Amino acid sequence: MADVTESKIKTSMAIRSASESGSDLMRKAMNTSNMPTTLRPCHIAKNTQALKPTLLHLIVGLMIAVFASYLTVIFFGVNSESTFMLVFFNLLFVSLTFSLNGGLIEKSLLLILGNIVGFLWNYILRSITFIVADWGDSFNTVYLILKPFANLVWIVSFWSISLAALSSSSKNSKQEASSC
Amino acid sequence: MLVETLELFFMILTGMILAYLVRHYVFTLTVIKNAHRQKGVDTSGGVCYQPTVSVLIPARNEGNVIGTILHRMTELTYPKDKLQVIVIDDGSRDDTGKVAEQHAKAFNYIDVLKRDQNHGGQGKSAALNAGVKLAKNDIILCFDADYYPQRDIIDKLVAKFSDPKVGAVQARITVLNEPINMVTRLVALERTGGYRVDQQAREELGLIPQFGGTAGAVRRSLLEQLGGWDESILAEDTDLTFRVCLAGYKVRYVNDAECYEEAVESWRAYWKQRHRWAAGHMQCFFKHWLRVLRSNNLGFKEKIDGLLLLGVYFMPVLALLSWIVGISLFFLKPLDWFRMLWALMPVSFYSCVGNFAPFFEVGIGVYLDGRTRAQWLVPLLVFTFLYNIPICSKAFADLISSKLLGARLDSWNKTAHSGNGNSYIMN
Repeated sequence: MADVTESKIKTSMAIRSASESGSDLMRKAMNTSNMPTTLRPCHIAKNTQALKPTLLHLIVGLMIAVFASYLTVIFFGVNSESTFMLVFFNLLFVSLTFSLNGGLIEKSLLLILGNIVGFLWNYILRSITFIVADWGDSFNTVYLILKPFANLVWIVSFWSISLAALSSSSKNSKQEASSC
Repeated sequence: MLVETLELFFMILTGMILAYLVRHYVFTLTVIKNAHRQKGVDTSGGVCYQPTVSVLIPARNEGNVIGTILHRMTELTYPKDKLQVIVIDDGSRDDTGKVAEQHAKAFNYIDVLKRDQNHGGQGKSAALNAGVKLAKNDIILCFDADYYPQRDIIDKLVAKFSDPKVGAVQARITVLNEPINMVTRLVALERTGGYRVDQQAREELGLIPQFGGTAGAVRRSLLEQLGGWDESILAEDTDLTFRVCLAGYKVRYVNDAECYEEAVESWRAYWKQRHRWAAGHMQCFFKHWLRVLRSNNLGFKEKIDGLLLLGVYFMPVLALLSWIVGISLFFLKPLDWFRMLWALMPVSFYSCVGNFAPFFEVGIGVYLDGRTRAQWLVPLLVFTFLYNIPICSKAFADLISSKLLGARLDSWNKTAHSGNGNSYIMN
């Protein structure tokens, strides 16, 4: 860097042409002709969620998760990948979303609904397995390889829908509280 | 023999993926646990630590955006007698220099450092090093030209420097032009997971928050002691993060201090930006991993987190490798344990975006920001992962070939900024 010649040029460049005033140039630089003097971002979320500790919610959620997993695995006989995914979903859902704001009933219903969706998804996949069994080995193999992905799709989708629902209801309760 | 080797390899790979998953699960839990406590720096009156600050804005062909950030510099709440703003016009061919000069004439705390076409364009690190020579103040704060900080961002950031062990402080980056298209929306999700959860958790757990190179401040005395920015590294920010920590100082993160950026708007621009980040991060891995392990200034958990942070851009490559090895094993010898690990693969595929932000981490970050509609886009993050595989693989190949051939990686392969983000700035 020693050979780099640098000079501080506050005065070396004539930046105002005869036809362009300083304020025009400034506006041009701001990339808009009517930029307000005071700037403020308008769409950045300022309503950061403050959470309340919810130990009771966690305990209830854990009980529901254990019960739902037990029912699904013992009575409906899902396979190992699906069991793994269900347990994974229950663990994530209970430990993370049950600590968020929102009613216990709402969260519990979402958890139960998640397990039902997971079970139905598994049922659909098993039906497909049954159908594609006759379609030849190569198709069957591709299906088996992709199966874990198919298993996860419902978790991610349900996860995003659930958080959207919880976030929405949390906002609604805030608005109701503030209007009261 | 082949099967056993593949099995071992597959177990190691999935073990590494699992380590990242556990790390980010702990991060997410930590942030949720602490979310009820409103942490932050109180800058509303009272006694504040207000050292003198020099703001560096390196700019190369940033005519579309430079005016906006310079105007913002005039609106900062920080006392102007303690502020110096240095625009480094790094050999621009557009009107960047003219706009900067215009502001410098109007405001006495704004200076312009002109680097001509012959000497400019050697990379952001070179531009920053040139700027530091002009800096007169105790704290060096960097902004990219497309950034748009909160008015009181400096107050919030420098408050952390009241602790003499703090060497660098990072602000939160939020995407300004998010509504433009799907790319900007997905980048915004990555940023949310990366900053609102990942950086915040590392701050709360006393690990190593990453100094992002922009919207971040560093002690000038420390920077000079470290010899400035390393111009041979593409990710000069990550490099500085580790040099600060290895020197025995802390890097801190302030979530309340927000700075808005103009995100890339096309997949092509995304490729260029992420390729630079990935290659730079990988350079840092090879430069620092052994130093991190041997350091006496880092605790055990900092070392583990530091290594995971350094290796984060290898994950898409490793996930691809484990996918290939897994398929091979599937045909050769599918065992029970294999099926369990195999089920982990798709989770990792939904995780390798941004700073290895899994879908649950991004979702929680978006929730904590109080946003609802953005949640619906979380499943689409799989596309950014799929895109990150060739990006990181190419970056790795380029890095290896540059090492073998002794060539230097492109340094100012910079992102072009359209200025579209300006339309989201209004009263």
